[in-house]
Amino acid sequence: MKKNLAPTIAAFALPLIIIIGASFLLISRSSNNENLPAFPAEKYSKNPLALRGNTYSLNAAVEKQLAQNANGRVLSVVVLSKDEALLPVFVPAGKASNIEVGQRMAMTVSVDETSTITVQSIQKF
Amino acid sequence: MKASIPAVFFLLALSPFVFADDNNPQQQQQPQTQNNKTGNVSVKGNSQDPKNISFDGGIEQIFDLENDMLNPSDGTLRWKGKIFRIEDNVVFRERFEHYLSTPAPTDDAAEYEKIYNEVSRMLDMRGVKTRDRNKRILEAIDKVRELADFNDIDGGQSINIANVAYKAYLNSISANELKLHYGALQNSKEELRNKLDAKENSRRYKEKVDMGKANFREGSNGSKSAKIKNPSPGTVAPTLQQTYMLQDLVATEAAMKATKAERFALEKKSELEFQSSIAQYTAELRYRHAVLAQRFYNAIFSANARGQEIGKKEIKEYLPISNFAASIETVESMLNEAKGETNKYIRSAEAFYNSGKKYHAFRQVLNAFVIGEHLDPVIFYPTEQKQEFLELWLLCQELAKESETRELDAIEISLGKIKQIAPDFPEAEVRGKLRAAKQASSLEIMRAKAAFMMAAKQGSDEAMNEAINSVQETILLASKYWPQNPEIKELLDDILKQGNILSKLAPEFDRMVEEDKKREIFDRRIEFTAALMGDAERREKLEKIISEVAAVGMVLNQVQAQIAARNEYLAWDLLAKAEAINPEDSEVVMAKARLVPLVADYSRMLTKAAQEEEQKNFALALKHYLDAQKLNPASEICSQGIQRNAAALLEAKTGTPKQSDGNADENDFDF
Repeated sequence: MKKNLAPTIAAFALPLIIIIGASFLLISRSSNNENLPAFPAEKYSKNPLALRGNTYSLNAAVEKQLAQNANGRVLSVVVLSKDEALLPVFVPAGKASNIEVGQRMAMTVSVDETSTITVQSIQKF
Repeated sequence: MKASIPAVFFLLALSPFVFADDNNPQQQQQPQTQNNKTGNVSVKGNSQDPKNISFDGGIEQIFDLENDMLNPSDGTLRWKGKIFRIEDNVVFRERFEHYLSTPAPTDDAAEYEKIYNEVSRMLDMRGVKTRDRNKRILEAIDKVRELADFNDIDGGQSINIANVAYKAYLNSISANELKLHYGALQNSKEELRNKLDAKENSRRYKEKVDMGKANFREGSNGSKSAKIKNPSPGTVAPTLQQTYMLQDLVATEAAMKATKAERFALEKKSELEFQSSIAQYTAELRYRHAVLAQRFYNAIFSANARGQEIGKKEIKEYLPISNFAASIETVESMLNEAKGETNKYIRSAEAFYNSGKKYHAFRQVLNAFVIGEHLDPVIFYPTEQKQEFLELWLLCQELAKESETRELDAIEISLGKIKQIAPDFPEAEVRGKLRAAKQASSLEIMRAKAAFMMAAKQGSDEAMNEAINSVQETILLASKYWPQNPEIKELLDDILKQGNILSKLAPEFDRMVEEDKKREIFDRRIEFTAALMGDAERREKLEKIISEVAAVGMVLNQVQAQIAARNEYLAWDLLAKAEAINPEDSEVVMAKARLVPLVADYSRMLTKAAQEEEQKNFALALKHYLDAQKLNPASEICSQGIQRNAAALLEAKTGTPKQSDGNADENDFDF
């Protein structure tokens, strides 16, 4: 009887562990970006100075890689919003791996003193 | 239909002789020539005036442009009173060259025709019983696949027809099944309705009986006020069984509607797909396949009287005739007519060829090709003759190019070569016009020489200046007729010998250079060229100015073309190029002023991008270039700006320059 019980427990426990793990990941991801305001793409075009020093969340899809070297890359991304604005972002090396054109990403970005949008963290979705 | 495509191309190529450069005010002053179909030199005013000689009337007469089949300006073909839209002429010329250079196929045309006719017979459903139709259609689909084995004749198109037909056939089967299903649903609906009615009647009867009993009881109890009550319909709730039956009825009705819609969609989709194939074959002049597809269509849809719905617009565009009603039958009749016409042209070509009139034969083959490119008589035209025609065709092309550059001597040589291949080529009048052009050019030179000599005799500065102006005009005119005229150089040498001109014009040239009057210098280029011939330093400056203004002129022409094509953003980019050559050029400034209201947003983005780039705000410059590129994806300025600023941004952020692009695919990269 005991022998038959182990696979049954495993059958229930395994999916449960997966669900708990996935939920944890989702919660942790959303908690990263939830506290940050969405990147104001229109304001960036009109008054970029006002955004300097700020950090935002940015959901976007990769449009093209514009330049790259060993220390980072410059990408153009399409903001996943109604107006689908194009933004140039700088991704320092080691922030992400295997990103392809069309890849949708949830990013934390900061705007530095040269108004460059620098990626702090990336999560694909 | 006497005319031919090379003739038209040739005329177009000769047009520089006739039409003055719009940008050249000197040329605009020339008397206007008239199109004249008499074949005589066409003039306005004095016919003896060499300035009035033009080529247009003569050439038109030679080639009878009134009856031309092909109009290269809009890519239409006139045939049988209808106007066909053919593809871009460049594409057409390439197709025709490919045809001429390809050997006749080795496929068995008779066998192909036999199978084709067999399929056509199978698809003739007259007198075929309904139950046998599907079998016949399936057999025809199998048979039509055999046609695709004759690849040179068929081009593999029959496989497509078979596939479309089979798909339509399956859809028609499904549609029939849906029809049966609809019938079954209708029966069950009737049944349910009958049952419901029966139940309702029974319930009402029972209710009435119960009510009667109650009334009777009340009456027997002595209640005088009691009245006989009738059950009013709808006031009594239906039984549970009735409710279920009602639900079933509603569900059945819904299923019927869905089935009907599904069947309609299936039939319509299939029918429209088929029609689109027919339209496509018609547009590609694949008559044989269009007719075959149409026969399948009629057999599958029993649609002899059905109108063409899909491709109607395209066919209309292809045959831009206001009252042309596109229908399957009209297309078939047109296609059959085309077959007959093509045969006629090819027979005529053979007859001409056999009588040694190769140019006429070539024209007939060309006409046949235009109408029936994919028909047997054209496909199987003898290879040897096609090779000769190819040579003739290429010579005609050469002639056209020489005409563009106005190399009159070369034109005469090419005419000689053509004449060797095709003695019937109508060269006499062309030669006459060439001679007239040469004479006109020489006469202008003589006039200039005379004026110059008279001025030299007088010796006054005023007379000399007047003579120089006159020489400038006449040289421009002479070179318009015949740029390579050797007498032009002789005249310039003569002028150069008059040393005093240099001393008069050199200071004026220096002053104009100082005042940056480049366009004015350009306008007087002939005069200055002659005067500064022995002055290397000034000559170099002059050449630079001439090439600069000419380059700006070329860019401005492109700008006009882009504006005409409604590509204002690209026109703006071109203006930026012109501005880079000479920002002070008055025409560039005017063109910018005219264009700026149309591209205000785009120009603002580019200006902002340039400003940010100058201040080394590469990220912002990049953003503005990206926005601008969104408006004008083909912009070279934007793509260069993006590349430049992306590299600069990367270098600024990482301290190292960007890696060379190499062959890496930027659309697929890893971090």
